[in-house]
Amino acid sequence: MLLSLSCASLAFAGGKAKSGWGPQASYIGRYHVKVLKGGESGVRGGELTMFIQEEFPGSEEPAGILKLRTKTNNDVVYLKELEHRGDARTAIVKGGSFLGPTIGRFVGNLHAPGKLVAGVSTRSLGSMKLSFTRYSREPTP
Amino acid sequence: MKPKALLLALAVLAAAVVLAACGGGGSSSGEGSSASTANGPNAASAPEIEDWPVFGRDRDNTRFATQDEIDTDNVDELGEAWSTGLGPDQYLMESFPLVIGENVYVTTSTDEVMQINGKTGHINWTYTPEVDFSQSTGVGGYGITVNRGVAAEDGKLFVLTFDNKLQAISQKTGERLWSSQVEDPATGAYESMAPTAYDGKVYVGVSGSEDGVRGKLSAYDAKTGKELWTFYTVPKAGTKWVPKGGGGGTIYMPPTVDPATNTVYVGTGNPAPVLVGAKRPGKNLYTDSILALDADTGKLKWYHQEQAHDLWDYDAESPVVLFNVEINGEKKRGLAEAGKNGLLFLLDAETGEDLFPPVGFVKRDHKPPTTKPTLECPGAVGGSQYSPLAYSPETQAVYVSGIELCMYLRVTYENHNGEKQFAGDRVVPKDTEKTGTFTAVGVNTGKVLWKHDMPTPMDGGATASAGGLVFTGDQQGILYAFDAADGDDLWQANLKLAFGTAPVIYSIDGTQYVLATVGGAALTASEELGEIGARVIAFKLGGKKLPTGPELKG
Repeated sequence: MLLSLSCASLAFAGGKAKSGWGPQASYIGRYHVKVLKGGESGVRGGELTMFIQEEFPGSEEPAGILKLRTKTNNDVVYLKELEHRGDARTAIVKGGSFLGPTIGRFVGNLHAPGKLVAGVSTRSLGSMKLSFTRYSREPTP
Repeated sequence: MKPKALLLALAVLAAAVVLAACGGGGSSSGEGSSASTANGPNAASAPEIEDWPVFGRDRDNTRFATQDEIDTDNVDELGEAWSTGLGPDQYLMESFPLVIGENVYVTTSTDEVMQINGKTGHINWTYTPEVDFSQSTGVGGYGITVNRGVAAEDGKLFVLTFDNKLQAISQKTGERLWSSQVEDPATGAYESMAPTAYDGKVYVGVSGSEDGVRGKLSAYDAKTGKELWTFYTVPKAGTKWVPKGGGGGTIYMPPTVDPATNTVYVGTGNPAPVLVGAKRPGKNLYTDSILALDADTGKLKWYHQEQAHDLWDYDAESPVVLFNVEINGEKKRGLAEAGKNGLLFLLDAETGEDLFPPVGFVKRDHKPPTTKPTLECPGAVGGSQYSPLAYSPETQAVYVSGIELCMYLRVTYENHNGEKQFAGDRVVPKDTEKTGTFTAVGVNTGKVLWKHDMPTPMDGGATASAGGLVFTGDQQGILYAFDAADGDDLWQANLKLAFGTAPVIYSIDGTQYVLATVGGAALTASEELGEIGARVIAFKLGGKKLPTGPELKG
């Protein structure tokens, strides 16, 4: 499952990816998650928060917190090392925290402003296809 | 301790400062800075029971199990009875389980509550609350969420979710009964602690000093979830010593209740802004303090400040342990708490006065931070974090988990990793060895009885038993059983998953189990440390043998 999405660079075939997901105003905020394909663990829904993470003073990076809900579990994973090229949007998925182990990939496409469709994989949940719709430009409620 | 702070220790982080007074603590009877007002298993100290019904097994919070089937002579026959994974992508485990009847109640880092059969490891049910984790962006900027367990009373379990909800669920079915919002997440407050339930009340604090959150301890009606009283640990921002945007004195671990005196004891965290003392003159009461409050009204009985005018993030966050002791022929009710400043405090539980001078258990060498990096020991994640002590009435000793980790601090007047009120940087020197200590201290002498230098920071705490043993786990996943009297390293098992908790001990049908919850503390949520995953693993005599760990020094 992880392997199916591990070659994010394929999404950028033909050019070099740029850091981040584009202008901050274009993606920072909160997203509803619609499950198009739930993966092996039967993910039912979730929420994505995109924000700017301070790594240390003078170093800021875009990052995301992705909550996924199965029948019995809250699964919280972390998006880092965001990249884009054209409409392609990718990230690595970390477990436990932003300093945690890399446990999967996020490989998506921007379909419209604030609207993403992505293949997401994690070590335990398997491969999912998710639709993200931004409903707030603020990362905090 | 705070997950955020622990994680920060692993990153190369930047830093900061201002001059201010350092200093030791002090104690006094006094009044609360605010009280708006409004009563479990009444276990006596070390009751002869088979369960582990409250956070520290008994009301004194001793983590001393009276079972003696597993002892110093047969502990080498201890092996795995069962092992159960706790769900997908779980990489932190700071949950201290309860055991009632045949069932284990454990939480996950994402706030699920599970009932697990204590004989088989079968998950009977899982309660999965709806939780907004988006605010973890502000927890050190690292998205850390942990849950340190549930409280139980009268057929209900009480759990705090990351987004500041206190929820009651059926102990039998996991069905939610009520939910109360205890703080607005927009303040930067979050929950990581297990609540304490006693006599119809549920005692709850909030976390988030580094964001300038105003600390408080509140009591809620266990039947309805209605707030009964609140004691604020610091004045409101912009009043008295607290600058605008400042605060602190938040709470990370469950309070300890003494039914005999109707007293709630709780430790508080650092003041904020954390490194800039010049903006918050005076002692900054009641931060870094042990508080004794009336259980019915929240009125302050006494306080003992472990670190006055803190400039180093030296919380008093590990839970308080109570004990009976005779000193120079005089019987006393004693209290123990190990601080992040690397000192174990042994106090008179009735007055808050020192029974003995504080006992150091890690290297201590610190000075006021400045705008140039200064090496501080313990670092902001050193000393004793949230790690609970264990107390054995047989050895008259408390067992202390220590983190040897010095850090550079530097005042920058800026926020740090999303923590709005840290006001500086903290950096772990690249060549620093991250190690730990495990120390036995006599409560009737105030002297170190024995001490081990441990290969990793010790974060999970300790558990003692009438079998003459004391258990603890390290960041490599090694579970140790020491001879409680002399520290002999009697048994080890390599669980390969880091410890962020201490074991619990229970018996079912005459068989004694030692149960470990493993998967890592926030400190270990890093690729630099081995395997990942959250598990509950039970041990019994004659179980499957696991590999051992390294030979210890000292």
